[in-house]
Amino acid sequence: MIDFNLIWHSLPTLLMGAGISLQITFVAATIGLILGSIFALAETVKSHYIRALIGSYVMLFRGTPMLVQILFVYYVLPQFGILIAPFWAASIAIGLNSSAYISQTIRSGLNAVPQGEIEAAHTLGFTRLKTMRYIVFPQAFRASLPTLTNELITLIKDSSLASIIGVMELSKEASIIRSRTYDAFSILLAVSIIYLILTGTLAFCIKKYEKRVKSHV
Amino acid sequence: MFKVSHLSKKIGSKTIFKDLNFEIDHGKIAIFLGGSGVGKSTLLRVLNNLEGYNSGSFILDGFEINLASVNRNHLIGMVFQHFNLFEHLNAEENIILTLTQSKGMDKKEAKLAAHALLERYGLQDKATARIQNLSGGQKQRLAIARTLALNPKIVCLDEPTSALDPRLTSQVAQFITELAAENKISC
Repeated sequence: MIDFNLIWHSLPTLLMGAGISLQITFVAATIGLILGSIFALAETVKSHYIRALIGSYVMLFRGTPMLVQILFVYYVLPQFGILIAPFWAASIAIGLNSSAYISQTIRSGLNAVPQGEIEAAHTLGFTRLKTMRYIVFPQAFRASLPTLTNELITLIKDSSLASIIGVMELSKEASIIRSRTYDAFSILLAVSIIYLILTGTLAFCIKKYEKRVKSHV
Repeated sequence: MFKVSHLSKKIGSKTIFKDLNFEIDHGKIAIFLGGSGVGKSTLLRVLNNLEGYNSGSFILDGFEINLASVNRNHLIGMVFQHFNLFEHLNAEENIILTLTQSKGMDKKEAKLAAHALLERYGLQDKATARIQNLSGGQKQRLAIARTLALNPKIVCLDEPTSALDPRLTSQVAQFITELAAENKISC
């Protein structure tokens, strides 16, 4: 049976947890987008060493579980004198993991920009930076947008892994309420609905943005 | 006058052209003819600093020019065979962006200049049209307008009529003749 009373009384706590989940997502997405863009751009250079370095980074973060990466940042780095609070450890680990995926998404977006347009910009006297800023990035970003949306939705769900190091995000709050009330069904149902609202709203907003960007072309 | 002397270009061990010499006067049209693969497009790409060369010198109006700076100084412009218009922008934005970012013009001024060019090439009603919605002939005219926006002394057109139907070919020929009449060097 669904205990609506329990859900109602747990709602403020769960919503506070949801706020933390969104904060983790925001920090991780920022790290992921910045590093991912830098790595994607760096992969376009001719240096084999840089490409190999980024390739190894991507392989490392895609080939190991995010949970292990969070635990690594939180438990191993302090052994080298780097102390990080649980919230930041989780956000950084999730962000680094995400940057590996985002770099590949943006790289394919960059590859989708016709070489002829880059050459045209060059003959028209655009600097490399301006070509990137006005010709390559807008088109690469637009081409990457659907995959980036999926990545952001994944980040919201992945933020639940922060609970493993004690971050009081949505699933951790739910876990505490569940262990106190023994009503797993009601609480997990409420948590699932909150996650669905978060991911659904994000997907809706990005879809709207995507449409606006396309109609602006 | 534009004078090219002893221009040679090799790709790997293959010689594309060797010891090429020619002169073109202002107001003249030079046409490079030859079979497929003889290096016509490569020559235009070299002149537009899209490809390097092995040896050669270039003199424009009595001054030796460095091809590395021809784009920055808007000395030479290029109209590509497949137009290479910026597909994420509309027709007028293609010209406005070129003027603001390459010539440092302010947006208002650039918009006026873009509209004047669009009108000259019969594209005034296509100012806000997406590139994908333009016909081959319209794309070609827009590509010419975008290149001319920077007022280059030399305009290179790579197979300007190959992507057009015969009806539009004479129209493009007319535009090229007009370029020559403006004292530009066309090749």
